[in-house]
Amino acid sequence: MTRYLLRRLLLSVPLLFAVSILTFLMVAIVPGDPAVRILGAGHTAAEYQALDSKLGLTAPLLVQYWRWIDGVLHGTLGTSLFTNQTVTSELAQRLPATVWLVIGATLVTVVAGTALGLAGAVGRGPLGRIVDAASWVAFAVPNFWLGLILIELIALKAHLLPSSGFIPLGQDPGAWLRSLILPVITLAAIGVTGIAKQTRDAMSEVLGREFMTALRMAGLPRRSLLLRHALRNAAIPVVTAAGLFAIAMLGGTILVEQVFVLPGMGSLVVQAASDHDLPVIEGAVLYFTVIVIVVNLLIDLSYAWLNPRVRVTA
Amino acid sequence: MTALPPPEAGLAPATAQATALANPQVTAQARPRPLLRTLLRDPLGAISLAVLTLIVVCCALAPVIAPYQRDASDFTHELSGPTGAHWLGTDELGRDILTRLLYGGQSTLLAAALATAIAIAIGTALGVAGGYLRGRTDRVLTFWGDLLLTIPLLVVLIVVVSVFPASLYPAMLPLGLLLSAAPMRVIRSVTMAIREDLYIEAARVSGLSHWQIMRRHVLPRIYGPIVVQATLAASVAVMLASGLAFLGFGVQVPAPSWGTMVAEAASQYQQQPWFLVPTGGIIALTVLSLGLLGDALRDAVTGQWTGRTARVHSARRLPRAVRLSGRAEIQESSRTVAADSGPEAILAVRDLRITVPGPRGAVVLVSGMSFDLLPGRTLAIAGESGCGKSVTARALLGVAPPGGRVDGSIRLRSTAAGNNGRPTEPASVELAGAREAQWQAVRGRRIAFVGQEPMSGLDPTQTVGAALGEVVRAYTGCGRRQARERALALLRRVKLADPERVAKLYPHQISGGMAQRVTIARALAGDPEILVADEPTTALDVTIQADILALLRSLQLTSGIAVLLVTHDWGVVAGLADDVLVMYAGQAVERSATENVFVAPRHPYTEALLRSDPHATIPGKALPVIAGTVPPPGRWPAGCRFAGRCGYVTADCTTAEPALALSEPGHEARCIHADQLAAR
Repeated sequence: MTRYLLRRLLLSVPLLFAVSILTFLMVAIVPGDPAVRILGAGHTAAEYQALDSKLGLTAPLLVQYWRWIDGVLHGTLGTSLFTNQTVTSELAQRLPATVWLVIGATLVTVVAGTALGLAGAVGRGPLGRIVDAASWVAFAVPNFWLGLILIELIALKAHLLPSSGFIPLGQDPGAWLRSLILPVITLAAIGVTGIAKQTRDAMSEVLGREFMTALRMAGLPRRSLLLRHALRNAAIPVVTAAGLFAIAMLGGTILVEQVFVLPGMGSLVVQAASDHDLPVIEGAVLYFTVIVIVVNLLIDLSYAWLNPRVRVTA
Repeated sequence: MTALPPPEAGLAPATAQATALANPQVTAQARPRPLLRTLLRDPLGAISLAVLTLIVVCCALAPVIAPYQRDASDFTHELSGPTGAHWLGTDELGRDILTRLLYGGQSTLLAAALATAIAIAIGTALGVAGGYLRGRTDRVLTFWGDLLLTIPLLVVLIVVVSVFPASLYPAMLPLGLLLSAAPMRVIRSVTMAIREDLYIEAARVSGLSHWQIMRRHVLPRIYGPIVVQATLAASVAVMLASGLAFLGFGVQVPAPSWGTMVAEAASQYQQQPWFLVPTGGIIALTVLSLGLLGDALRDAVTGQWTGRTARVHSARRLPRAVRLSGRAEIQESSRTVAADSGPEAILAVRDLRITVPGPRGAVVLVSGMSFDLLPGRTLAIAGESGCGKSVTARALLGVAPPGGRVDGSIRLRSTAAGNNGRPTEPASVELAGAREAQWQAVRGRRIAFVGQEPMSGLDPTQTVGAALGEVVRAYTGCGRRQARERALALLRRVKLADPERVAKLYPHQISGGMAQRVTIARALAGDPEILVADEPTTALDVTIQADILALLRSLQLTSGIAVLLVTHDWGVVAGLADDVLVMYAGQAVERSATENVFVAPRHPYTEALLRSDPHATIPGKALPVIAGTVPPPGRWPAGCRFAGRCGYVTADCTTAEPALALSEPGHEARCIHADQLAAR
């Protein structure tokens, strides 16, 4: 089991390198010059040159990358070209909003999606069709647009929840929760319906398997047939989907943070990308990739818990 | 300009011909026409295709059909709602929204089409290569695909657009690359399935190169999944291209794009909320059409319409016994049977009739089945596959085939405890038409079941010990520790070596024979009075079959349990059964003590079956077979159902259906020539 997880962890090392090199290369060939943007127009070439070399941008790319990797290994990610703050402290300020957003959206997705899917698979009546229709709507509606509509209806018209901003948990837990509700709903919408559909299909498939009939003929109560046996077996494909949704939602935070003006990593990336702030972009991408790796590990862990075949053969 | 490759894409006529030569039966499927026609027959598919075509054509023709100039401002109507002059209203500069949506669609859709084309090209190439070549190539490609799936799309895209801020198109290359992971997976698995087909094998043997086979024989057959994946990739691409524009990347004012227009609407929604409706709506409509089209295409490709998954579990209430079978012979037969059924029967089945819904009314699977189970005795139901043996066996546990119904009477003798001091208690309870809760009190506790495939009878995520412990706790309500003890005792009882170790194993870690012992142990957990065993040895190796039969025999000797044994194997009948009931085409054709049936069968079908039993063949002589096949349910002939295959057939056989009648004491046969057989 430990070996299995270690192996999965090792596999993520190449991912980290690949993503960081790609990012580095892409940003390094930026046509725009950070020095011009920092100093503004109207300075002499020598002044720009001086700033460039001060920022370390005149060194060959390989050297720049090596310096960066060296920094990562020593726990520093460099300094923002614009704010002069260290990248780690910038990211530390931005991390909570994004992480809470993703955790909240993932929880809502899994809990609400599974419950809806279960109800659709087991219950009679139109619930299955309603979930189907809702899935299509959620699939088609862009989340940035959904966010704007929610702001308009719930925050501005009904004054039920704040329309923007993020309150740290430590500051005021109630306000923290209220500030997260709309962004989490916006981010989770597509996942909830997606997981609901996935759960319903997987449940229908498992309920048709022979072992379910055998257990039913063994006289097990309906509750344990559904929850202990069917749901657990159906959970394997559902968890796969949940992992992919979580990763997709990580990207989705960029749009959602922009709509709700949340000080998260997504809005930091957008800002840094328009400023060509290489150290910040590199650092943010690294953080994002690490979060992806953590999500994947959690998925692997739940696989192992759900599916004994994985656990034993590993 | 199109966001969607036409369904014909990827199939040149020449390759279709090549496929036709190699594999005649795929041509129907490999020709693009039927797919399009099937798609158009599905209303959702037809509508979404029409909407999508409309959007694409209108955007492409924007310079011709747009009502206004792209950037023309109408300062008398800023931020207006829909009016006669501006069907979809105007923006903050008084520009016509409809016009700008049409122009904006050009860049958004073109970018999405570009990303889709790249994704499908890469995904198809790598998917076919991985699925066809297998081995190391496949492993490397699968790893590559997994890698792509873990990259947060939008983050990478934003980095790329910040490099080329003036245009969306450069970002479509990495987007296409990242989107290729999903089609690659699907196409790989489809290719792997096709690879095993005989004609691919034939092509390989005939000396075609891998490249030729992939191009000419694999590609034409997977264009269906490719088109489905293309629509899905396109929907994601439209969404992301709009998202990037919404964030302000890859756009040049004043050129419009759908995402930019949502952003403009967002900045104005205090003044004019309407502005949000058409701008977000067009994105949603396009993505929805693409998604629905993909869904309809998938149905058209697989030939399955959605919602046809059988739900075995739902609403399984057996209807109240309906005795209106309308057939004289059944009533007659039930009378004869009722006459010889003694009070000692623990389970009495009368006129069992099982039907399933068919395209033209109910199809009868089993009719007029009547029999008794006696304590300590084994009744075997014998017959060819498809004659209704298993459905009958499962009906005794309240399980009907999907959508089917069970009529007739299944009476289970009341427990002795139930009769204590309550003389009014009926001697037996009717199970036909019982509610699920009543069945639950019977299943496992009074009537237990052992199935044919031991592996598929066990929950793959549960250890043997947990599976047994669970049923023990459900039956007795005892604690975990006690249940564990009892589970181990049960494993010992079915003579499994090292029960402590076996209890910790999962179904996939044990052999078929062990698994069958486990299901038998589970069946014994509730101390049942009746064991229904449906072909308990069919899926097992021959040596293990003998062990399992010996186990069943010894368990019956020690517990006095009544056994209903379903089998097609006369060896099993001879080894285990006291009485035999032979079934043919959904009804009993002969019934007697085992010995009688073996020595002097009274029905031509039984006789023919016994003659074709491989155990009884003479070495060197051809195995006799029964000519013809069992007629399927719903196609049973009038008169005797076996008449078409029978050596004794006369004109009388096809006029009226014979009754199951006593041919000699304790020996019934459904044949008008039974006496003729007896005389031989």
